[in-house]
Amino acid sequence: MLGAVGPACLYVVILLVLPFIYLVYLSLQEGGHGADQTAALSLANYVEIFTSRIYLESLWGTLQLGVAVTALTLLIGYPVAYYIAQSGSRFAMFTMAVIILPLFVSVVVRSFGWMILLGRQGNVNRMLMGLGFTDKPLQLLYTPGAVTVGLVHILAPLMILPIASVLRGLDPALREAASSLGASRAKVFWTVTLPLSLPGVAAGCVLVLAHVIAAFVLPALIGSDRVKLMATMIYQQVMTANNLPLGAALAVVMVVATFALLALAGFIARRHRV
Amino acid sequence: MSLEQTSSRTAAAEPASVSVEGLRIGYGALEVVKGLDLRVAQGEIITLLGPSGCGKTTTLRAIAGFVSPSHGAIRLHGRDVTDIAPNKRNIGLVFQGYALFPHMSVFDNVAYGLRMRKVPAPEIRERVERALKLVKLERFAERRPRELSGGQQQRVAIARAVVIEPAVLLLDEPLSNLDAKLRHEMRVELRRLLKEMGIASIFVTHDQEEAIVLSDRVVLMNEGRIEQEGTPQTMYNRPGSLFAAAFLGQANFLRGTVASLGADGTAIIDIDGDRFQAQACGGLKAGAPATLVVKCERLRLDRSGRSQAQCTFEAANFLGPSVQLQCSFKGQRLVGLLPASTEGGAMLEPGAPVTLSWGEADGLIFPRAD
Amino acid sequence: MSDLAAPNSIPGPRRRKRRFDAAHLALVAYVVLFVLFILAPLVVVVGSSFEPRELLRFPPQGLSLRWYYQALNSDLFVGAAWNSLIIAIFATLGALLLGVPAAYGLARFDFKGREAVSGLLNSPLLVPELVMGLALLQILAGLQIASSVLTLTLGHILICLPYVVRTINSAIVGVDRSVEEAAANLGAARWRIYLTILLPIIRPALYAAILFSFLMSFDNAVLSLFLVSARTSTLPISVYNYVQYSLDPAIAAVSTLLMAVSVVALFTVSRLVPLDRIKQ
Repeated sequence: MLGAVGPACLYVVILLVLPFIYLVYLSLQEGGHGADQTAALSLANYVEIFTSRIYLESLWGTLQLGVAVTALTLLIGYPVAYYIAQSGSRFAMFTMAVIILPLFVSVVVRSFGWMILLGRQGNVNRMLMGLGFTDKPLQLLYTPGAVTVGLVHILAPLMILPIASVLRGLDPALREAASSLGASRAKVFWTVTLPLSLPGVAAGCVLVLAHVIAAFVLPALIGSDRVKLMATMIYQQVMTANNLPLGAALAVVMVVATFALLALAGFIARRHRV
Repeated sequence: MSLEQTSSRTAAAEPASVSVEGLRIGYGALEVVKGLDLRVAQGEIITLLGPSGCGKTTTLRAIAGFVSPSHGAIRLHGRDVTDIAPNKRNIGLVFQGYALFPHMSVFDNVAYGLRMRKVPAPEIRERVERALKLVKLERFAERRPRELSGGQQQRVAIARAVVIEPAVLLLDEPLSNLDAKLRHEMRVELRRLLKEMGIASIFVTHDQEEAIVLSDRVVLMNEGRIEQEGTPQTMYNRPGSLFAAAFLGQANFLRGTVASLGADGTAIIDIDGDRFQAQACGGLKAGAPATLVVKCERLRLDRSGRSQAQCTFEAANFLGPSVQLQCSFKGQRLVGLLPASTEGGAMLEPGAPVTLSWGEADGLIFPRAD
Repeated sequence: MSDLAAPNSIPGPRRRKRRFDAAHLALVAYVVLFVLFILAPLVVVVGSSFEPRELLRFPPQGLSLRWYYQALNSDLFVGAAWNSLIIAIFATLGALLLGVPAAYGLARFDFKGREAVSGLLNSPLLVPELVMGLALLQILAGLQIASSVLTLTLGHILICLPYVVRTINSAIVGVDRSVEEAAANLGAARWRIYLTILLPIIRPALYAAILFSFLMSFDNAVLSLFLVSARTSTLPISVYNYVQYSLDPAIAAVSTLLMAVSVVALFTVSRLVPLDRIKQ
């Protein structure tokens, strides 16, 4: 019995839990060059993260981006989820396939696609100039806007799939009941469908937000250098600035934030079980 | 004056609550309803009864507005609603699964229809409370549907549908999700409630017992058409076809040939040498194959009936209030349903000879197609 | 039989009423735009790989395969692709060996701490890859183990494991327990039941798990970023490094080949398993 789950659990413990504990240990070392095992443990790194302007800006910027991307994917994605759940047409199935496909394409390739689209000679600029909106090519790449759009593109499926799943599970009799009682199609949506889809919405929001917090490749390729996201900051501290303890501390903060988010979502889900 | 004549007199005085004319649903090979005419008078309860696939649910959904007919018209209180959306037909709908809004309280569920009609809040409160009192759930107003039992949920569904004072109440197998005992209780309760409120109602069910208890009139459907309609008594005692005879109640079907036809609406059927006189139904021809139909509970374990059959006893099944006696007669099955107190039933051995009898009025002879 | 109120329409054949549904049309139009939005970056990558000139441009001015020849002749990319393939195969094998029994254990046994185990096996999906990569790198550095195909594979197994566990668990839960019980009743040992009855029943889920796992490993970027070295790289990482310095159709060709692997794999899964059983 335990033999069945044992090896897998052991594997995860050895390759994930223990290394993470080591990372926490590293984060408690004094910053500087490399890890000095003989120095005393301290929370200096964490203090610095939460007091120094650069890191606070990075945390705040990541959070802002997270909220923005989540809101956008929700607004953009909900109608698509509604359509997929409602319609049995071939186009709906095709749309479903189109949404799932990018999840299996490497994020590097997807980001590269945006680099082509948003470049100075890219399609977006060419279209804008062709339509007469601007004379010179706009700087679209390496801006917060590019990162936002790119993340919305990458994470939209994560918002759409849970919502569509919940919508599909709704008893069609509920909508018919509302209709028979006099509700117009719009009223049926606002008073019955939407409230009952909220668990899916919440799941989608949590997924998207967690992924924005962890986002690395896309911001690295098309993001700006001015406001660094947490992931970029961690990578820099460890690989370039050689400040491993601080990078480790940032990493721990990232994990804590992610798990706090998940815990909060789980808590809300349990309280509002319909 | 017969029951049918009385109801048509009343109906002529005011428009029917529901009037369906020439209803056809579906096309070509996929036609589900093949020309149906139906009238439901004010305050009348009718049941669409039939096997699955007969089109009864589709007809109900067409009256509700969720299915578009290919031919025909539907009128509610004289108003043609055939092209009108479901939310504008002023109907009350009770679903098999109740379809209560899980995210709303009982009160909000019942108030929903009134809110859609923009009824002012004080009036909503009054009407909802009245509806809940009617179904005896006034203390459950703030509960959620998931906290209620099946029977309670069903009553909320009914309250929700009647509080809007609809032109007609449509109920799609409302009792089939309840357990047997509750179903029996609710049948009587439901009829009482609907009669008290005086709303015309159309039930859909495949349970003939339910149809008999609930309705003023039973409409038996088969393969998209109405096979027969009438009061429960008529449908039960005077089925118009073998299909109707088989569908309502439990009956015996003995195959034979028509020996002769009588002048008084009777006929004599020859079953492997034995002859029985019974009511003639449908176009019987002498010498043609026919079936004798006798309801199981009409059989008696003695020689008191004019028609007597010498059978061989096979088995007796105790059903509680009654005993089912399985016998064989000329190689065909004969089943009697006798009160459990019947003398002599328990003492029989398999293979023993036994006489079952019935009155001549209890037998019906139908022509047989094969 | 007719009503007192004079009928204003005689019942007869009716036109197939299809009310003009503006709302529905608008929704479909919106979804079309959304589909274009989703496909745009992918289409652009594929399209610009055929550009004959040395410009990264979509739509391409012609159709040339020169960049594909160049890519397939590049030691760097071929080596990286080869690595990716080997790593993906072995990571999938490892994830299966660990994950299928674990999924079975979770599905069929009710033990204390089951939720915790489930959470633990799911955690690689929740912990940011960046953090996992960083932590692993530090451990390897501390133990003075150099990066290699082996270390990459071990890391990828971690990534693939949750996909295998979830897919297989979901499938086993869907199999009626009584099938196994009937077999046990007839005298079959647990192992035999497992291999000869259960696995064949969940075969579609196995295919799905294999292909998802393979793709997750093949496409992996962030974790691999920490585990590659100058000598050992994977295909996504080699693309990543390249595009930071130059953008040309060559890299578009490589990216298209990377995507082709995904499309082919997905197409194969969709033939074997209904697409809407994917739980992300």
